[in-house]
Amino acid sequence: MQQGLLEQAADEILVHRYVETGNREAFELLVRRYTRPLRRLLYTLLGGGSIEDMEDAEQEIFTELFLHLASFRFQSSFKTYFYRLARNRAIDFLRRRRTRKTRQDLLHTRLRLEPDRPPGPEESLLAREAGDRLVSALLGLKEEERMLIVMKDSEGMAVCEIASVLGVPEGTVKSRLHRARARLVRQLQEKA
Amino acid sequence: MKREMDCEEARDYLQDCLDRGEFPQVRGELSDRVRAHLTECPDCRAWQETLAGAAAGLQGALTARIEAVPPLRPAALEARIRAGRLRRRRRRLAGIAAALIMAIGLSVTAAGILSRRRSPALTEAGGDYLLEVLFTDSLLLESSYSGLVLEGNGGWLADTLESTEIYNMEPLTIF
Repeated sequence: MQQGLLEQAADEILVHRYVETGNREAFELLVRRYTRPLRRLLYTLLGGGSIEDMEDAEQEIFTELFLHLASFRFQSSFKTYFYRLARNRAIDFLRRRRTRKTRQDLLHTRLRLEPDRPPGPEESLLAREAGDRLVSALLGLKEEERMLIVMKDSEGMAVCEIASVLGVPEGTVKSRLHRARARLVRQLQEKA
Repeated sequence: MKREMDCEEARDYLQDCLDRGEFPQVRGELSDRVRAHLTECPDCRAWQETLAGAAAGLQGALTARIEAVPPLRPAALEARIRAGRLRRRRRRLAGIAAALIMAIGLSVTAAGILSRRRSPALTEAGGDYLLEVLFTDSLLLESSYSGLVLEGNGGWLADTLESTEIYNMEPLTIF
């Protein structure tokens, strides 16, 4: 398959090619497709955190994913499979980090993903302020609420996909999501 | 006459629209009533605006936050995955080896228990038994001992080796 065609291929085709033939391009394409969504999810789940934490968690998740990819049975979409694994590993990572943090020297400085970083090239000052308010309100929610909002409103996943990731009925996802959004709106209105 | 919609109902409906990907448009059979409610309720209008802003700006806001993270290098990741595979293979081999050792240990112990039960009779019988011991220096000794009982159990083995003057050599396998 030519490079251009491979780029347009569905995730499942890339997975198949990587597992069957060890195709490097298929591997790189999958990594490229999922890096940003994974980072957004990790940022939300880790509650900001440091760059090192983010990189560690990201590498751990991708390594785990590709080590077990041969066991992917194509019974769900790759996206669902990926998010399920990412969510579980991120929660494990969080637990380990909490344990580590209690032992960690408080003066130990780590490069944090600061809320008051300089604005990016495509980010106006106003948009940055609104974005900061939004992210800070989001991080004020519970872990599961954050995850639901990010999966639905940032990553555009369908309610049925989220239900499959979390292993709960669609109705449960909907009601929890609505509650989470209502809390987010309340937090935003309080901050305004 | 249609009942007026309350705030909770209207907000739930707005969220349903967002779930379906229609937001901020309000469509569907209840849309007229929701629109009517929004016209009359400034709180719900503000609520709708905040929700719309959050939904539209979330991905961008999060993406701006993760820009500081250096790009992931697929080559480094691949190397890590290869190392992980190697580790898994080693672990699997170690597991198989441990299971084998355990199985051998169990069978030797079982054989020892059985031989202890049998040994007086065998000793009394005074027959010839074949002893084959493979030593660490790869020397294979084959001997025939009269009246000797050897069934692989540690205790029996020690007695046997002492009596055959090869006590100081370390046995690896006993047949």
